[in-house]
Amino acid sequence: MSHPKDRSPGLDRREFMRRAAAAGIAIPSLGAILAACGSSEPTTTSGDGSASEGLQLARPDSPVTLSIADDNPAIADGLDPEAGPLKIFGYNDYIWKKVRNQFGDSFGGIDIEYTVFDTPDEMVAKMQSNGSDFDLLVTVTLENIGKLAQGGLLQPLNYSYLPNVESNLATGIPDFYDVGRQYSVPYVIFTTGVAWRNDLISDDIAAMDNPYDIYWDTTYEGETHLLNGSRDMIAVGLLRKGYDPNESDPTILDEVKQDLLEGADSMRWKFDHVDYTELSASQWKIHNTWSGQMAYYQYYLPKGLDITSLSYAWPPRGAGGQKGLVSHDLFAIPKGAASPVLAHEMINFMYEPKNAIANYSYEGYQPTVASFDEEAATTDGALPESLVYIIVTPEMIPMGVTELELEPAVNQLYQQIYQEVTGGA
Amino acid sequence: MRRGGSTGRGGWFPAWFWPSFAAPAAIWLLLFFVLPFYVVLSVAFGTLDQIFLTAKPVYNPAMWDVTTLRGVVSNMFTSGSIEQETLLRTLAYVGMATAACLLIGYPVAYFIARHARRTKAFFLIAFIAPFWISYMMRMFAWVNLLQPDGYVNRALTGLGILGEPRLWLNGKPSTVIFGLIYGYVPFMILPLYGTLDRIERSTVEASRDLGAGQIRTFTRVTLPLSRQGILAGCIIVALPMFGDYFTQTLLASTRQTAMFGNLIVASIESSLVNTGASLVILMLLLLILPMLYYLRSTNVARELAQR
Repeated sequence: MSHPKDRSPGLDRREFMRRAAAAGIAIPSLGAILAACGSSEPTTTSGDGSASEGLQLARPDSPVTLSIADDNPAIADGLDPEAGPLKIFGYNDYIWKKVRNQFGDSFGGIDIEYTVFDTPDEMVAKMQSNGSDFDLLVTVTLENIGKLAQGGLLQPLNYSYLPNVESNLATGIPDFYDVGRQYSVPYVIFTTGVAWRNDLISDDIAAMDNPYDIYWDTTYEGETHLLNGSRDMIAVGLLRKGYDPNESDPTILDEVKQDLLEGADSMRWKFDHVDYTELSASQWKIHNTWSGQMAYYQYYLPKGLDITSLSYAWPPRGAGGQKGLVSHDLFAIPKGAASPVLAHEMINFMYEPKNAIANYSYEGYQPTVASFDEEAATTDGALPESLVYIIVTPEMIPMGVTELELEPAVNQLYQQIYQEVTGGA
Repeated sequence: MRRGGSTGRGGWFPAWFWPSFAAPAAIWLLLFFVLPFYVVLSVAFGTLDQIFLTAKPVYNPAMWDVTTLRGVVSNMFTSGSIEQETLLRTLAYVGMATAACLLIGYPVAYFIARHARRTKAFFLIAFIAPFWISYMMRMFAWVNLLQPDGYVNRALTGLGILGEPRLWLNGKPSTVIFGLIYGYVPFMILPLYGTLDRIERSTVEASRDLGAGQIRTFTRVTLPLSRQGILAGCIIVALPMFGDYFTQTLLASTRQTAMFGNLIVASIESSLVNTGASLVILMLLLLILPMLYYLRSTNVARELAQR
């Protein structure tokens, strides 16, 4: 036998054919092995539905009561909390570590593991593959709660563990997407609007007839950022024209796509949701953003920049009274969670006013507890005049519109438009 | 000699002995390339979950559906499509950045190999040092340096080169290309240095003794002998550059500067995951071509050297 080093590096034709045949046999076998590892069956659902039966699209005028399957009941009353750890899955820093630790200490020092996701799409994908790895989901966006529940990935809540929710949930927060809040409890409420540097821009965006036009104002070419994510970006185009943010008409969507393409070319928009970290690099003058995000700004201000240099406009409050987005994120508990009692207790803990306010002081998104005093937050000087609209008051909720679940085909169309407008950027 | 074995200065070895040395690499490739790539194929030719719009890979090749791949290939040849625009842009960026890496890297490698002498180790370490800091951190550093009131603008306006600060980070192709050059140039220097350092001084001296000037010696002797290093360097920097998405995300993040890697990432992170997987397959096919050329060129060079 020759030393491998002495062999010809090439293959003769016969050898090539022999190896190709072997590979031909191996590849289908590989497929069988992989198929065995994953599920090739359609997604099972809770209740009486199946994936092929489609989704019930919840709308304010068409509320949805999510079904509860016999094999997926809520946990029984009166169970002792588990020994932990409590595994939370949520946006980065969505529950302050100090608050998490306080909860852990109040339950005998249990460990709390916090796993982060970046986008709702990522959360859905991970819930689908490993949902039972987590005990508590923070946060579910409204457009995802129906599919997660109907897809059998969540367990119903047992309100006997949630007395604080019963007594402290703020009024006026709708539940048409989950009537009776069987699977979800609101966590934070926020609006989506325009943030701008008033020290660099003389225009009063809030006073504009159509504040969305500012995103197309070429004076600020290269200095205007939009939120990344198909729903928020396309909503800017839809709302500018007065359409609903859940529009499904392909003609309207095409019209809006053309506007967005024109804006992307003429404005050289950047797409991101880290407006607060970009403050130090003075990268933008105008940013589409979430109201809760702006509370972070105080921690990221560069030397010489004062918080009063930043303004926020929510179009329904502006001179033109354009439509604007208001929404809330939800708590939910995955089906198969190892520590469901602890998860319930954590939700209940977050509904204690002092814990909710402590958490708010750090992470900036407004809690949905009744004791949160919106008026005091805006009048006691804690917020500069230019930022008072980051607080969501009860009368603002009916003024706004909300991004809701779409038909899968429409959702695909939104993704394609987003891809075309951003080019993947 | 016993049947199935081999003898040599090291003694007797069973037939499987030498081939077994390839086992770790073969297992590694199987687990971390062949298997994942098969999953990518299964996603590209698979379907979507109708509720969650997440990928449903189809592992049986007999049931593969090529509709998505066909659509992506068709878009590649459709003028003005985002796929074609992004591909052409990426080819241009990678071409320019690779050429610039070569122009910067060759003189540096030449200097270290030929003239650095005792300071050779110092210069080598100096050029390898950036590897000690993560690519992401180095790009973050440039975000701060290039911001409107950053040091770059301060220096350029202070020297009178710019009248007012330039908005480097607002979607400029030049900034992305610069980022690629900065990030990958060390990968060009090392193979070039290795090749240039191995060129026998006597060969160069022979050229000079035969009457060739410095420039002629370089163009007729040094440059041809370093061809393999140039090729290796270009391949080493161009292949990862082609799949790079992070540089563009940090330094530009606009539609006008998006690269092929950005398109793949954006697709895979959305419900266009079948499209994303199809783009991965096309990228692989595209990148195989320079890789095959490099392998062929290496084989030819080896055969010539053995004559």
